[in-house]
Amino acid sequence: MPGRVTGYLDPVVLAVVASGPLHGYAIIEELKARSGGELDLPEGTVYPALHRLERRGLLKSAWSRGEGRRRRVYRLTTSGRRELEARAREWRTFARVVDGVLA
Amino acid sequence: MIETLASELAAVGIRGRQRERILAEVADHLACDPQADLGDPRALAQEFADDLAVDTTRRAAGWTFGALVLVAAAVAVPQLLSPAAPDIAAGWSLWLALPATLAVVIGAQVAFAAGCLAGLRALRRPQDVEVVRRRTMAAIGAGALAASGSALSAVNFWAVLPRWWCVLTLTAAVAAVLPLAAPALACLRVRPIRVSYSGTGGLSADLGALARPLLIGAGVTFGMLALTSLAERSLVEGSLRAGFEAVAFAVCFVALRRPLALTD
Repeated sequence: MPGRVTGYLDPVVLAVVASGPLHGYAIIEELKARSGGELDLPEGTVYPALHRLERRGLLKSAWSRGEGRRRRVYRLTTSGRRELEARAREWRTFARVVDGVLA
Repeated sequence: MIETLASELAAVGIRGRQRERILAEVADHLACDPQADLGDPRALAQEFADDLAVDTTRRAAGWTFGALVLVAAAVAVPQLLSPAAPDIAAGWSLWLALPATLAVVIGAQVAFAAGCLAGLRALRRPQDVEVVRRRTMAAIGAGALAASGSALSAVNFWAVLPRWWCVLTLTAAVAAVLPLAAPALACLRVRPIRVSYSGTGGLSADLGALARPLLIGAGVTFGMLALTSLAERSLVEGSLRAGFEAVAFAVCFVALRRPLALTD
């Protein structure tokens, strides 16, 4: 369900990075693993999201070397953690309300 | 993929370190999984460009608004602390006094209007990158003009007013201009970036039903008439300044119609 996650891509990425520093490919793999393969969006769309979140101060990144290559490793900032908590609360409220209506 | 993405990024105006970083990340991704579905390179480059332009101009508009508050303080505080109000002809030269006064009066008002409009559009429709950028640049230019006018005024009255006041006015003007450099550079950096969409709606997109230039001009002129008549205790003086304000408003509206995206 790639289309449905678009509006929630940023918090979903923040949630994945919250578990520890990761590079782009690892973030996408973790995203797929946590969603049981349901979030099978075009992988390229995650990179603009990572750059956007970094510009907004929610992530920070640095180059590291892995498997003989340069790779950019992302980690969550304090603002990013606060943003993630706020968006998670917002999502839980939304999901509870919609569940209540649909039930 | 890498070569196509490199040329697509260049085509949308993303160059230098930003482009190198994107390409390095994509290259690392493809090395991890050569069959990875990274999507259409053109769409990916466009998404990077849109995000970068929107974020940069929105931040520049916010910085500009904050920097203009400093400019306002740097211009207004020395005026309030001035130990005397010398005649405009009492300084070094009228050729300094007149441009200095005009720069402060017009620069301050244009900076205020452009800064507010830039901030409003950046908040309500940040995707209108070109409008936000043009308004921000106009606000920065007008803010710098007002500060320059204040500095010029200090130079003009150097021999008339106390030295401390002249030094304070000059220092405050120079210090207030410096924070305008960061948003100006950001706007210049974002200029070559081609966004997929940039609305051009005029004042109506910002103010809705209140977007009536004649009404705004009349309000500003009447405000000037009332305030200066009271301050100077003279209806004649108030009327003169209000007349000047009306002409200046009309001239600025026509001259800045395009840079400030005032009309649809």
